[in-house]
Amino acid sequence: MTTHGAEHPDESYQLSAADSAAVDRLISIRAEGSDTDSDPQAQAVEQLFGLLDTPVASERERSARINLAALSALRSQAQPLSQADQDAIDQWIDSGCEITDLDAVLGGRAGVLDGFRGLITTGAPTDPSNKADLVNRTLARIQTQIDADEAAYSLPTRGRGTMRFRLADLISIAAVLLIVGSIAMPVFSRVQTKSHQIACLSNLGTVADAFGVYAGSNRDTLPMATAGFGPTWMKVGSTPEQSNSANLYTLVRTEHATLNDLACPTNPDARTAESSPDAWDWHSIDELSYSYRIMPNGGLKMHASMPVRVVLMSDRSPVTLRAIRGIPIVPEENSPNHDHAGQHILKLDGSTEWLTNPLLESNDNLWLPRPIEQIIHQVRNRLGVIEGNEMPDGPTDAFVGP
Amino acid sequence: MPDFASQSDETVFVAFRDGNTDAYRELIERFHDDLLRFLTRLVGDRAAAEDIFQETFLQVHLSASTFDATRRFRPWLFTIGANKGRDFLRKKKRQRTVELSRPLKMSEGGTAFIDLLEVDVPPPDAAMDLSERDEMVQRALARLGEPLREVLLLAYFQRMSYAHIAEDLGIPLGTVKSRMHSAVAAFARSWQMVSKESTKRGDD
Repeated sequence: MTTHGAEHPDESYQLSAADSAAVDRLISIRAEGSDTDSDPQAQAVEQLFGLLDTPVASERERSARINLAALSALRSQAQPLSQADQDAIDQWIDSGCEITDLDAVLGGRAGVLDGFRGLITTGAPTDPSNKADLVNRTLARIQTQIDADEAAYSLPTRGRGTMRFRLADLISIAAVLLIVGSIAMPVFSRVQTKSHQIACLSNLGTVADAFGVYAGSNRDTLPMATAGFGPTWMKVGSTPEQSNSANLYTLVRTEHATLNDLACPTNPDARTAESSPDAWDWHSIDELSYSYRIMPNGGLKMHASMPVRVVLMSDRSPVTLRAIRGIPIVPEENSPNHDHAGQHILKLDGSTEWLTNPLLESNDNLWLPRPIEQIIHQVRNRLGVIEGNEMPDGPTDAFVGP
Repeated sequence: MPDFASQSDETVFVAFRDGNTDAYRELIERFHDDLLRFLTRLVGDRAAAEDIFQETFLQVHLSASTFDATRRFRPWLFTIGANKGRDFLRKKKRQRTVELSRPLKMSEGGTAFIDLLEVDVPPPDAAMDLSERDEMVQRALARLGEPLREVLLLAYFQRMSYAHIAEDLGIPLGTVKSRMHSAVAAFARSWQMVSKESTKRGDD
């Protein structure tokens, strides 16, 4: 079990103690007007400074990077080229990187430079489906931005009776959650019930095996109860076409796992025994202890090229729980299992992790799809959070505080 | 949908700016391979490069009104990509200790020139596993410091003159030249080392 959210290490480079001392000596030697003849290490540092032939102040946007880190990077690469090579590079660059007519003049050097360019600018061909996917994702991201810009100027109304999120709803939710998240974020008990965690983790291990066996006998596909969803996947206990949990329930139905394996001890309403042999799903969201990756239409096949970080299952999502109950979501809330202290996740490679917040790598929120994460991010950027220094917008603006 | 295939990047971009979303798809598809490879080379991580790719085009959209249509689109795009890549690297840069007091190999000592003619570069059609070569190039580039890697990649991917690079990066011409020399030398040395490691592994 590892803990997610380790802080990034400090972003600076560090000199060794000897080098730091040498820099200090060099500075004091220079201040005294002496030379560095008697101090080889200070000499080395002086040479290093000499490498920096750049007037620092003239560098736009990056003066901050001209520091000892950049110097040492230059130093570690300081291996000179012959004059002929330097000239070749200059001519080659200024000819627009063309070797025609130059190669004879430059005695084969342009060919080497062109070879480097070939190495660097070409590579294994891109899979056309990956390309289409990235192009579409990029366009969708830009469209999200355009929609968010437009939505910001027209206050949205909530949808009527539909379970689907509309963009307008999301903006509204995101705006509400700023207040919920910053003021009413409850101070949850940090006391962790260790035995519950261990039991839950053991469940995940059992279910990981069940996934493996299921996939092995179903042409590598993950459990799926239906070919696809209708208008929603949130109606637990309705029909498989409207409930993602029915997909997870497939493990029980096909006897790869028991309901008890899929019941976290922290959930008092968890169903632990089968009521009917024909059951397809849990009866209600309250009975569910774990959330399962939303299955795409047609299902998901496990294959070697899928990234290991794909999360298959986790302690139940507080976001869908709130959404189903029609209350504003708090994106960074932890699972209600384990006293909101964190959540277990089960990854594609069968490994488990305990996360103290729902943010994965690249701030990917476990509970939300990326477009919604982006909208929330944009709304927060645009509106900020309530900091306690806001004032009513004139006498008619109702705004009360603590 | 108009046929953009035969039109210049700048014409297509102006069409996008005037509200033609098909034009933007064309631009994104047109630069997909080059920009994604450039970003992957720069940050050394394909998944991160894909994120930065999206951010770059989002930024292009947000800054569309500032683009001077009399200039070239490609360098502008790559400069935005390089900025986004640099932001990413700054965030993830790890702490490390650099030992300055290793012996310096300065030219006046007559030591160790890199000679480009001695570097073994496989021709483009060489029978070599492309993904293996890709990985080797990535390893070789990873040994370069960020400023050198950036100038090398910008020069190679954009095929720009020194003057253009200097203007785009806002640094003096002489600096661009000396950085480019260092970058080529560093890459040549790094490539030699990676090739040697690879051959050694192959022999084991």
